[in-house]
Amino acid sequence: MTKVRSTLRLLTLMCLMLAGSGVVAGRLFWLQVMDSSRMSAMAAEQRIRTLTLPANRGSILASDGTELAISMETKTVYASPREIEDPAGAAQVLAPILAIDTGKLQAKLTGDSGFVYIARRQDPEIGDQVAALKLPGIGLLPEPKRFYPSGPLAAQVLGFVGDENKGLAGLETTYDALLTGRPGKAVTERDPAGRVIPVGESSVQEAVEGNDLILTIDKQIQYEAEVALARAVVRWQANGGTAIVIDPRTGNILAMANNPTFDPNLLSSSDSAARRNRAVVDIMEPGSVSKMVTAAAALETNVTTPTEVMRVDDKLRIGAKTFSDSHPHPIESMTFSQIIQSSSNVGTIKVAERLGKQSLYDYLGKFGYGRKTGLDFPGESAGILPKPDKWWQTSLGTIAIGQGVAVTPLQMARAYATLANGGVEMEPNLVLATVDASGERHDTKPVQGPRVIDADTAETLTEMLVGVTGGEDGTGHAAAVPGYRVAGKTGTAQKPRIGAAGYSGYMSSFVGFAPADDPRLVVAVVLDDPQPFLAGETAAITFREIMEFSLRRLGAEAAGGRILPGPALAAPPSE
Amino acid sequence: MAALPSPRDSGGTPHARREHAFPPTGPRTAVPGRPGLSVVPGAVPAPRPRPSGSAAAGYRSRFKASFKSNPARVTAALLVVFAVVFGLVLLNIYVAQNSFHLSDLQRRAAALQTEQRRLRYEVARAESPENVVEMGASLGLVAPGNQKFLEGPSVLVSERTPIEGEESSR
Repeated sequence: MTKVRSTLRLLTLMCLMLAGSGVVAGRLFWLQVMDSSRMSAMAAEQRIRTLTLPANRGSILASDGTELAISMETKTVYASPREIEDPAGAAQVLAPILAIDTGKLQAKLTGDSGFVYIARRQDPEIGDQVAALKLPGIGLLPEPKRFYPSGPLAAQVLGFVGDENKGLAGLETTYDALLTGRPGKAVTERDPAGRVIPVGESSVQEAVEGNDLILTIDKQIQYEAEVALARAVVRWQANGGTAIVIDPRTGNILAMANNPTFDPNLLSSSDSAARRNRAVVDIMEPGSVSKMVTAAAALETNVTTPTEVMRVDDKLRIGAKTFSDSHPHPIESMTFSQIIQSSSNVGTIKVAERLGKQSLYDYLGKFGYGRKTGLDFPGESAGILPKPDKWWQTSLGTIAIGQGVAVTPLQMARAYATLANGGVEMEPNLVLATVDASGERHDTKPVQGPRVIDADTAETLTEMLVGVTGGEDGTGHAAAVPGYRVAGKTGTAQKPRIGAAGYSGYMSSFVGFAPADDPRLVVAVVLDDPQPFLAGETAAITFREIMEFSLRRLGAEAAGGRILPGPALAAPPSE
Repeated sequence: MAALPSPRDSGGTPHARREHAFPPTGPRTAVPGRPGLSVVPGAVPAPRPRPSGSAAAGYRSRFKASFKSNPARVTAALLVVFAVVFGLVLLNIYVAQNSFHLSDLQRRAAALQTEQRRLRYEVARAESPENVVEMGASLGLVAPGNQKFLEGPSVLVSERTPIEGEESSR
């Protein structure tokens, strides 16, 4: 009996052991066979670390190859508060290095959070100081930061980037995809202490750097344009202004200055209005500078000639509106050239009446009114050119003298560049070339537009416009550049009220080109409500300063084939 | 029972050594022209029937026999194995060292790249027109006032006078 019981106990024990072994074996089978892939993945997750290798954002360079925008690696200081045993002590030593208030820093370091930014994008030297402290729970991450070595130079053209290194304005936005590059990744196997296992699993997919952009901007001309504009704004108490310098033969923009301006390195403290690129975003009624288009249309369609004499009163009534010249005068006999040179509204409107509204509309369109320039700049305006069937009875008169239509300063500059290029439009361009990650340069090609007017018409009109700066009746004598023949036109246009009917204030502008016989440069200057308001007394002077500097900088031939010596850089106006 | 002569005893040919190392599994026939190797009937033990499908066991037994009779070979083989293992360990150490060196070089390359970018930035900042003007002013340079461009002793080509406001800022 005892033997039987003993055997029974042994059997029971054996069964239990078998059952236990079965459970263990089953579990092992489950882990090793059925669930092996998940377990392998979990194990790999603990050992394998994948790091994103940030791609360096490409630089933006001036035409001479110097950096206008460059990205550099900085150090971001972060904390893992749950690993910090003494937040007060850590804050005490970190605060002076990072220039942060100790109390605020201590608050950040206290808590159960696993990750919190302490200070982003610090100088590498600061990062080294923080690393040397070897504080538990404090770490460093590499983060690129955008720098603009020339400060406010061409700030509105370049734009700026946001916290995530994405372009938010200007060319930084337009060419964001090209500049950004492609981030890489590094896969490494690490031990429990986080150290790389040298012979462990490892693979690196290198980041591809972004392309560099080489701009058409000439740094010296850009600077001179900005200084001249700043001086004009201070001197004539203008609300602001813009200046553009274009090479009419290629459409390359050598300078695009705006005032007020800002320093993209100090973005947070800048005024948002100062970040606007007025040259392509703002529209204005061009006023008398637009008479060039009316004159071109009239000459091209043979409704008049430069020498045709007309009797011009100082007033002209069309429908309910009376148009008047800038100054009272008796009825005068004037040639069409004199009408343009003295900027007679009445004379120009009389020519436009012969031209007709459809023809005037067509030529305004051909010269680029109501059409974007192709620059693809963020926020670029196409301007306003109403169709003839929407014109009022008085519209022919107003549009002929540059009111009732709206253009950007760049559109106006493009129209004059077309004339300066013998009647052939060239698309304005800001990018001279791109340089890819392998260092290969890809030049952009000038984009030629259609022929707008005949070369003969362009030559005739150029001679008429030379009279504006050099003729007896010219309104733009102040724009004359000693040693050069300059063609151009003044424009003093009323500013429409915003949100109300009527006008308030003036936009003063001067657009012209030189040397008139072989144009190298077109300069457009627009001042917002200067005192005095007449363009001949304000914008024309700023035009002269910029044009003179630029011609000499480029070594353009002066009259008689002489090359004048290079210019000196000006100092910015004192505040 | 007469044993087959060892290769050393016989000073025989490689063929004989092979025969010794790998005993025949069936009755030998006389080899013409090689009397020393003739088979004496009855001198060779009757061949043991080999278990079917046990080629591996046969090899093992042959190896054992070989190792017993050639301790030098065994030592040499062990040395070779040891050398291979040691070589692998050395190779591993070498690879690990190079791996550390590579990651060190990569760190240095990254640091130098960062430094190069910083220097490019410094150069660009130093070359900025604003900085050039400031430096010029600090060195006492001033832009000219009235500028006259002459050709020859008396022909005035061009003249430039500073505009109002320009003078004070220069």
